[in-house]
Amino acid sequence: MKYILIVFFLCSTIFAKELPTITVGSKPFTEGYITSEIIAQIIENVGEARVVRKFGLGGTGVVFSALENQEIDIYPEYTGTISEAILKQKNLKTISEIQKALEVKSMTTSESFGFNNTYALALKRDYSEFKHLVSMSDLKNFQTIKGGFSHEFLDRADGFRAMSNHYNIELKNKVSMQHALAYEALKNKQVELIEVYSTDAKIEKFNLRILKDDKNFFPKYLAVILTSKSFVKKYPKTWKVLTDKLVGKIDTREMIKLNALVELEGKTIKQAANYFLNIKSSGESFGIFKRIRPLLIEHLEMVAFSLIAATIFGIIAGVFASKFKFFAQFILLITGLFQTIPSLALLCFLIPLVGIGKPPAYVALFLYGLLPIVRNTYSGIQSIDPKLKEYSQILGMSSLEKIFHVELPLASRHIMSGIKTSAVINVGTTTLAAFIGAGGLGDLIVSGLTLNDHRVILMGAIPSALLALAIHYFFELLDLIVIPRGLRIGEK
Amino acid sequence: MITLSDVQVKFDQLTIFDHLQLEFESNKTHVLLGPSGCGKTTILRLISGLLKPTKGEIFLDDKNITQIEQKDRSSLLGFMVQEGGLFPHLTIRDNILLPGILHKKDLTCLKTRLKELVEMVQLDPLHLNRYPIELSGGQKQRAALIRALILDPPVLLMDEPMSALDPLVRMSLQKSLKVVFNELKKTVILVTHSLNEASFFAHETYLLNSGKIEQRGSFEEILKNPATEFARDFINSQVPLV
Ligand SMILES: Nc1ncnc2c1ncn2[C@@H]1O[C@H](COP(=O)(O)OP(=O)(O)O)[C@@H](O)[C@H]1O
Ligand SMILES: [Mg+2]
Repeated sequence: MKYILIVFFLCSTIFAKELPTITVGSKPFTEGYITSEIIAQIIENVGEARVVRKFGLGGTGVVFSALENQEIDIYPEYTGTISEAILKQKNLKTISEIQKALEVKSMTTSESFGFNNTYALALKRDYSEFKHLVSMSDLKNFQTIKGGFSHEFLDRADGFRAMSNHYNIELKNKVSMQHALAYEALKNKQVELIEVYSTDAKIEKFNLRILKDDKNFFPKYLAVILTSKSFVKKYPKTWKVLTDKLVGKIDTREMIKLNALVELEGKTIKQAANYFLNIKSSGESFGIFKRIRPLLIEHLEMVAFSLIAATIFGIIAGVFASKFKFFAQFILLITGLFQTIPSLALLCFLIPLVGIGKPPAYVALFLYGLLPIVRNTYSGIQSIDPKLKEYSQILGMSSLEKIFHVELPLASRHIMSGIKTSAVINVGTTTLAAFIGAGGLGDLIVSGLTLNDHRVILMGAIPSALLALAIHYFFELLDLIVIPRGLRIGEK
Repeated sequence: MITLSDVQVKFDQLTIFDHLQLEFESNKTHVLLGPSGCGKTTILRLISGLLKPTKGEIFLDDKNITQIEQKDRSSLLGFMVQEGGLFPHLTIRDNILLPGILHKKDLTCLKTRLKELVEMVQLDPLHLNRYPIELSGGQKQRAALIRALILDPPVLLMDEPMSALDPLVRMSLQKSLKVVFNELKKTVILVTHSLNEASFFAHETYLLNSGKIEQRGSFEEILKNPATEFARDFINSQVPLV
């Protein structure tokens, strides 16, 4: 425990440098990562500020609220998304109209990078030819086709429902799935129709055909930089270089190429960004451990701090429950309730309350860690031999004396096993925290999922499984220190 | 002198004692005899403060101890129960010192007293560093006895301290107890259902039957002149053993 704390302390001192920091956000898909990385590298090269990358933030709502709450300073967004999903004003067509509408939020955008990444519907080329299904209007005759769409596409105003109305079609056989998984599902014939982005490298790889948008439903999704007006004011030089290097500089073919570099040719995001910026890439196959280590430390940090908090609070609540019977049911019910909320849902509920990144992760991990500790502390104290309780009463112990001389030591085995359970659960839950930008080993899992790269997924999943094991054994050792010897020898 | 004055004990509707009047003279060994469920343990619980009488008062000499702080009471009374009641997470030494530590007694004084008691009670000093689970029943009872005596209370309450021991061990512990009683001159109230033990220890014997004192007197008196039919039956049931 002490060692871990020292490591964290060192980490936090390293971060304390003089340069101001610019936090660059990104959405959780390849193109988002690449364009964000390009922005980050340009800013770094200008040198006005240090860059913090918060990549892979889950969905428009999360990234934009992060921008509004100044948890990130800048990220690439699409004009269609800004008008439809953020401003909710369909009529905004041009970028200058959008910039005007953003003024009330003190935000602004750059001009377009050049490429248009709009939604499109795609299906297998042979299927399309066989069924003579080539345009979106043709879907009228194929309303039972099996569709696989992302949650975002299904939910947003300009997405699935608007499309169905516009073309007057009703696709009943639809499932929602992670965008990155849709291609595999299509390949394996689990679905027949998916939504894609027009710059998606996989369109070629999977030999897909894009249905012609013959009634011009999908709006334009031109990539721009989205940031606050104060950012532009504070870093004029950085802003100028960013617009010089990006506006009109990436056309659709270039973007497909960059996407393909990462998704098909196995290059890293950094290498793709370097390729665009014409930096001679130093064959960056940098060591796996170099990549895993900072994430592992971040992961441990989250588990450790949330666990320490849950332990302190959980033991207090457990002791409390054992003293006041009517309170016990209440405490156990409340803490049990948190356990029934799926972790990803809990993380998302917390975003409006505490923002994105570490805070909601800590809150969620703390809440999950609580129940096993509270419950075990309570049951450990309940199961103490009544004769011993009676003897403490004869001795006239005060409540505190009873707690520290009798109850906690005698319940220590129970309490420790509760803490151990919490720790192991939290190692797993922490991987999910990456979806809301908290970092940790989950980062690798999320980006692996996005890039459809099993190696990267395993780079996150294996260390996290090993970590759970290591923590389990760490606590077995800790038992030897914490649990009084008199209780341990009794169990053999 | 311990006095129970007009004591009533009720559990919900069930009255265990009513108008109970009892005096235990100082510096003597008093034995409470009687069948299971007659109220022996309840009397010890009343004196030790675990149980508040629903009516009546309890005095130690002239001091009314019915309502005093449990901590103050605990320095006046040593308590020893059937299976020791030692804390399994503490070594024998820490178990014995615990009452002293709770009363913030000087540690060197405590240790000197511990040493004296260990000798008197004939506990192997090596056992002090062990945990209760590592000791036999008889050894545990010796440790529990030392713990009950560590604060040097004037009164010693003992609830069937030997009933879980096998006969040889019991006999050796009985001898040690007698030595302690004689040397320390405590007011002892010993609960047992064994006539044998009563005859061995008692200055004064009290025969109880469902909340009533059937007979009180020296052991020989009760043995020779049982006052009631119950007393006769109780004695006869164990006579072959005596
Ligand atoms: N907490 C309690 N609630 C109800 N009845 C009790 C309680 N404690 C003891 N009793 C009753 O009081 C009577 C005397 O018990 P006790 O003093 O333990 O007997 P003894 O020690 O002589 O065997 C018994 O009938 C027992 O059932
Ligand atoms: Mg009893």
